[in-house]
Amino acid sequence: MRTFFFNGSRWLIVIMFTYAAISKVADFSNFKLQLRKSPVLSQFSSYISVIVPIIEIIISILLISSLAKYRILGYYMSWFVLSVFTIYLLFLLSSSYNIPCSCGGILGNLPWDVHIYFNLFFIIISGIGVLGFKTHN
Amino acid sequence: MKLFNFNSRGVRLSILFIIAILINFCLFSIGKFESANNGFNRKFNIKSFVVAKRKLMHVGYGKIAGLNDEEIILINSKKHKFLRIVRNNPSNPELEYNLPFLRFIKDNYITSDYRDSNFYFFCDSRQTLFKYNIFSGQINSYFLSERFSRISTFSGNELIIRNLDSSKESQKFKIINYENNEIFRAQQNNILRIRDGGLCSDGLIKNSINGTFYMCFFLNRVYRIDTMLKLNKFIKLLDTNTVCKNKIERINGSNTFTFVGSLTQVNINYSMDSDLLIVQSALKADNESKESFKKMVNLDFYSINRNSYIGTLKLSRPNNQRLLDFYVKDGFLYCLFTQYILIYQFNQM
Repeated sequence: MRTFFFNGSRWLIVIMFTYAAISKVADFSNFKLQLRKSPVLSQFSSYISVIVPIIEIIISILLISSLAKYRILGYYMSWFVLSVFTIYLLFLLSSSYNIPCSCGGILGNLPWDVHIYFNLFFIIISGIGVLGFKTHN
Repeated sequence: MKLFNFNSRGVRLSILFIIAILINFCLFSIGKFESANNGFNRKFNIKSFVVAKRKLMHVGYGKIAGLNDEEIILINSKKHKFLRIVRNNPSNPELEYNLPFLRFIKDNYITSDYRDSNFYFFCDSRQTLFKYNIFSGQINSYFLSERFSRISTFSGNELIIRNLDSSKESQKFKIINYENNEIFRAQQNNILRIRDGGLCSDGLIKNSINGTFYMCFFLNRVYRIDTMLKLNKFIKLLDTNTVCKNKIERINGSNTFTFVGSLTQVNINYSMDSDLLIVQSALKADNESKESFKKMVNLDFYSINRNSYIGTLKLSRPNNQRLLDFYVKDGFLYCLFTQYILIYQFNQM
C-alpha cells in the first residue's frame, strides 16, 4: 500500500511536470508572450521562458531515475519549483486583478484559486515524497 | 551545540520554502509593481453635494443598460436576461426578462446603450447589429458593412463607430445608417496614434444629448467628438498620463498587437449628463492611502463646459462589492455594485 502510494504520487508529479513542459514548448511563442505580460517577470521573460521547461523536464527525468539519490533530488526540486510558483501566484493575487497565465494546455484554463489548490496538492505530495523517501525505498 | 540539523529533510524543505519566498520577494521588489505615486491629488469634497441615498437590491446584473422616465434597465449579457426596476418606488416588484436569442450568438458581442425602449447588441465578428424592443419583444438584425472596434448608437438609425485598419495605421470615426449602411460622415483621426494597433488609444464612445465623447482607457483624456467627427477638444483629466505607459508588441509579425509587461490603466468608465462628466479612474492619488483606495471607489467630477475638475466622490463599497457600472442622469447618480444599486441625488454642483 505504501509503495503503491509513493509510486503513484511520484508518477503523478512526473506526468504533471512533463505535461506542463510539453505544452509550454508546443506553444512556446504564446508562453513567452504571457510571461512578457506578467507585471514582475516581464524583464526576465526571455530567460525564464527557456529555463522553466528545462527545469520541468529535469525534474521529471530525476523522478523516473532508478537511482534513489536522483529521485530524492527530484522531489526536492519539485517542492522548491512549485513553492516558488505558488508564492508568486499568491503575491500576484493579493496585489492585482488581472494576472496573465503562462501555464500551457489545460492548466492555463484553471481559475486562480483552483490553480493554487492544484499546486498545493503537488507541493504536499512532493513534501511527503521527501519525508517518506527512506521508508519506501 | 548544533542549532539546526541540516541533514534533516524537514529542515531542508523549510529552507527551500524560505528561499522560494525570498526569490519572490526580490522579484516583486525589482518589478515596478504598484508604483507609490501617480503625481496628482484629489479633492474629496463632493460628498457635501449628495443629499439623498437609496439602496435597491438586484442579483447578477453587470451593466446599467440605460434609464427611461420610470425605470432603470439592467442587463446580464452572459445569462441573457435583463431587469427593469422602477426608479422611484423600490417596493414595486422587479421585472426580469429573458433574451433567449442571445444564446444563439456564440461570438462575443458588445451591448450598447439602451435607447428608446430598444436594446442594441453589436457583434463585430459577424458585423451584425441585433435590435430588440423590450415591450414588443421584436428582434431585428442588420448587417453592418463596416468593421468596428468601438461602437455606440448615435441618433435615429445612426451609429457612430471607431474603425481601425492596422495595416494602414489608420483610424476613423464614422457615422453610419444601420438600415442601409450608408456612411454619413467619416473622419480620419491623427490625434490618437495607432501604430500599436489602436491599443494605447483604445477607449469608450458614449453619446448623450450634450454630444458624443470618447474616453481613453490609457490616457488622461476624454475627447469631445465634434459634428465633423474630429477629436480636437478634450477634457484633460486629473492624472498625469499624457502618454500611454504600456508596452506593446506585435504578435509574430502580424498586424495584431498585444500589451506586454505591467499594464497601467488610467480610466475605467465614465458617464455624463448636461455639464457634468463623471470618470471612474483606475489610479490612486498621492493624497490617499492604498488601503482607502482599495476599499473605496473614486468618482472624479468634471465640468464639461469649463473643462475643469470639480472634485471627487469617494464611495464606500457595500460588503466590499465591485462597482460594475454607473450612470448619471437628471441630478441622480446610479451606482451598480455586485448586488446593489446605490442612488445618490445631487443638490447643486
